[in-house]
Amino acid sequence: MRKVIMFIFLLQPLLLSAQEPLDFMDIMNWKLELPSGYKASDWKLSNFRMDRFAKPFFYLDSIDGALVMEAYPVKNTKSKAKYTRSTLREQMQPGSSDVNWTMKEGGTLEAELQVTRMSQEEGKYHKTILFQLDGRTSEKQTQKLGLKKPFSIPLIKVIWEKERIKIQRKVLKNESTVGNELFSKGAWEEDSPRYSNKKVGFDQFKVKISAKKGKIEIRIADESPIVYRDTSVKQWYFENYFTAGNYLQSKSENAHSTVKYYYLKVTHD
Amino acid sequence: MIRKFTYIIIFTLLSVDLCAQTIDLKNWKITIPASRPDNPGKPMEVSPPEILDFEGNEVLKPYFYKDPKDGALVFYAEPAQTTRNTKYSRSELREQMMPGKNNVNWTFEQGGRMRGTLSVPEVTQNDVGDYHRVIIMQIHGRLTNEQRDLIGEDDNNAPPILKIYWDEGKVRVKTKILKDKKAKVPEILHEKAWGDDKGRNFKEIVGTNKFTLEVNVSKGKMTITLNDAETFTYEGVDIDKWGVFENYFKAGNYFQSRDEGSYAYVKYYELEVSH
Repeated sequence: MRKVIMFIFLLQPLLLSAQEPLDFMDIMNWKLELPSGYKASDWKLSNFRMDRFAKPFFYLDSIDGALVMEAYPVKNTKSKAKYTRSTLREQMQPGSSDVNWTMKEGGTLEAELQVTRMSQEEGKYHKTILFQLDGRTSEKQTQKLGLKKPFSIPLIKVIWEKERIKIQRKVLKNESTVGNELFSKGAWEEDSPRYSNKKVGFDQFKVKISAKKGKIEIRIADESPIVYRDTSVKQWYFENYFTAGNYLQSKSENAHSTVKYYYLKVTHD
Repeated sequence: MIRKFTYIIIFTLLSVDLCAQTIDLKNWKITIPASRPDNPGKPMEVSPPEILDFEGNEVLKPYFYKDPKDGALVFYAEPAQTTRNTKYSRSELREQMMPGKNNVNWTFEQGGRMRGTLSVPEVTQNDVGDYHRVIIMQIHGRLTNEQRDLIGEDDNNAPPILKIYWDEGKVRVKTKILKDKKAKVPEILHEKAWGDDKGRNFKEIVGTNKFTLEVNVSKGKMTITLNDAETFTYEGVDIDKWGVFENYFKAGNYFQSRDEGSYAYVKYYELEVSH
């Protein structure tokens, strides 16, 4: 009898674990999109351990418990992404993409991660976007501009490229741009990229991105941060959200990248 | 240890007994996605008073039964025999204010209240992993015979003013709006005069857990409340003009999929209607 009871007690955590929250990320505050076109947020995402449609691309490592995000092209995809997207999109309000944050409110993303696999083509590694800070017109701005739906544009991209971290950001073509013009794609262009000093390669490393009141700071590993603090940042009136994941910049048949997340937190204070 | 185990068993039995709910079915008709034994073209329906013996009905059993563990009413649906007017399959209760009669219904002015405690414990996914959707509650309009004859229809069907969905763990509410706000009788009696609104999700996410929905209707107003906390209110010209229709409540599992092998379970622990 005692053995039976012990067995039931030992089994209990297994039975309950299917939807238990993860201790290293707030899964309810993200929306997942996979190369198959699969999308999940709130309850559906929190149930990913039981979901056979999430499993090929999004699962917990059985040894270290890290969150693994795989990216490789699939046939018959329903995804509208240009490349091979395995991405989490911040959702301040679970299940809704309409609640985002302003630069005045600010936001900080902290993560610990590792690129464990990257395919090559002609001897060169493919690249993947790990993080983005995206701008999106608020409901008011969308209305004011007479748009049918919100307009989105990435401000910051954190990219794994040639074993280094590359930061790509948007700047104003003309710093004297004002008003509605600031919300058009044509007002912005790519700034010259900046790189981490050291190669992160396939090692585990930390990333911290903080944006607040006209200042953006990006810290890679233990290096001194890359800071943007100029007119372009000040004139960024979009609402914002973070994305995190493994957005593989290739559609080649053999392309495949794997990123492991050990920690992923977004805060707004 | 053995004593402890006995306590656990007693406690479990007690708690099961406490939550065993008997839903009063005397004002409900059930429709299931199986053919009538006497008329294979038509879906099986059982009205009061026969529905009160549903547990002894072998045809109903696969689709509508009492869960022996918690006493809940289980509604199971899969694509099969479809009801008239619909593309999908249902295992669903239809209110009958007068037992056995479809032609006694209520207007918004007369008002009504439906309160149910339910859960959606299991639903299949489509080929990309989207969960199939389920309508769990409705308010359906109905043409009186006079209205039907006035617009030259051959049945009494009117659109549903309220559809409440289980949508990937969220509760989603949809209502009807007039395409032309100035339309009057007889135009507004036509199904095509009404369109769908955008729909709204409650903030609280229910997943596969138990939740309570309350629908309240009075002259010119309809409210839907989730877990006695968040309320959606509908009023204005659309609801005002809906006053022309008679209505009935529906509750259960109206399964929104035709995919092969798909199915859904809905469980009702409590369900009551008053006018």
